[in-house]
Amino acid sequence: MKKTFWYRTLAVLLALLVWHLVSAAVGNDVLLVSPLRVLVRLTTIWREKGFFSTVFYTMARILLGFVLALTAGFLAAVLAGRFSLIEYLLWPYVVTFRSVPVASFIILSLIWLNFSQLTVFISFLITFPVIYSNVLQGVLSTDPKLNEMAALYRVPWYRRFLYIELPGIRPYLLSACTISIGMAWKSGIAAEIIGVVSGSIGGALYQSKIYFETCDLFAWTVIIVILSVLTEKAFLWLLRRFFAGGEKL
Amino acid sequence: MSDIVLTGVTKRFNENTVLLDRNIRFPEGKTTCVMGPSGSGKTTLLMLIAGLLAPDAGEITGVPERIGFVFQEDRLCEDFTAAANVRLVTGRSVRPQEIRGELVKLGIPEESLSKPVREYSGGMKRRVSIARAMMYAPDLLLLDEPFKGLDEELRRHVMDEVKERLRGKTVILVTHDPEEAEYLGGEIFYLKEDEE
Repeated sequence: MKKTFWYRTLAVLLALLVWHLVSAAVGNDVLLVSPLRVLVRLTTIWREKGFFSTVFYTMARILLGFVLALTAGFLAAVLAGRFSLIEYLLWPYVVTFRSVPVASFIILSLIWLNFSQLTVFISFLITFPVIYSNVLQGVLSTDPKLNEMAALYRVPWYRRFLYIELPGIRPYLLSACTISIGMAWKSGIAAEIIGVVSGSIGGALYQSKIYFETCDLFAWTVIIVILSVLTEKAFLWLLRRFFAGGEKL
Repeated sequence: MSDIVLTGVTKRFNENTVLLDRNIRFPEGKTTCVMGPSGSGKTTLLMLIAGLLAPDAGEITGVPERIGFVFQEDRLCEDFTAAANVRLVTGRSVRPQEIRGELVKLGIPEESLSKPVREYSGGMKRRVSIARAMMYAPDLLLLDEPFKGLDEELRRHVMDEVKERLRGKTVILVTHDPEEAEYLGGEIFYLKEDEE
């Protein structure tokens, strides 16, 4: 674990060095700003007026979309695992959500929804199929013989779900969350950029592009990456705690 | 409660007829040992009585509601401890200390009780499965080769525990071993292969 951490840290430092060398070779901050300048900008950007409200605006909406997708995807997958009719009925939606380009959905959403709903809706739409498909796989992987045993011993449905199905779903759900939190951030920010949502991180990125403020563009990107990693870690920690509690009999 | 009676029971799996027009009575409160060659339908018979399979013809009457079943494949939740596996079916009606005591009586070492069943040997898993079925306090206990994989000394010990605990209950035991059948007492019923 410790070894992995140091190897990763070394890899990040190496990547930063490559970035620095390339930016020095290009010699134009508008085209490629140096990592040192981005680092300096990061120390000042958070002190600017509206920084925290911008971060909160985007983060709250992306996380709301993700939590809604997590809840809906989980429930839908559990039901689809039990009743194949539901699986068939959901199939066209899941395939559509998965294969239609996110930009098409964003443009359509701009017609249907207001700006504050846009990020929530897009994050939901992009993460729902990932969570649904993974959890469904977990539900279907539950050993039917264990369910048969539990039925014979008249184990109530909620105990069967908690102690037989949920442990089987756990690895699939954790892997779905790992993938989809990053996707929620990417798609949510993309929606804000295309929608030019003011007071959002996407809006700030758009402004940086308009005024060729490459340094700000990189600084915001770094902030997005940090927020995405932090929220992913926090969610996985919460889910692991939830499952650990559920396994105590 | 009454005797368990199978009347004209037939069970087929695709083209294969496992039981054909069978009439069998299992007396209430007694142990019946079902013996017979492989493929004669012994496990199918237990599954039909447990209601896990439906007969293609005939009827089964007198089956009580509370059934304990030691399946051939153990059917344990591998990530749980032995006590948690038992508690899953008993609920809060049995105290954890009582469960642990019963598991130790069946020869599960105390130090293994905190480990998940996944780390147990085949014989230990078998005993957890037996403990689960017994602690459920069933009115009918179905045992499908329950002592398979246990060494001689342990087998005797576990059989003694089972015998003691299930006195006066209806037990149907499937076994290949005539010694087991004799040791547990009760009637022996030979199941021959059915052909159509």
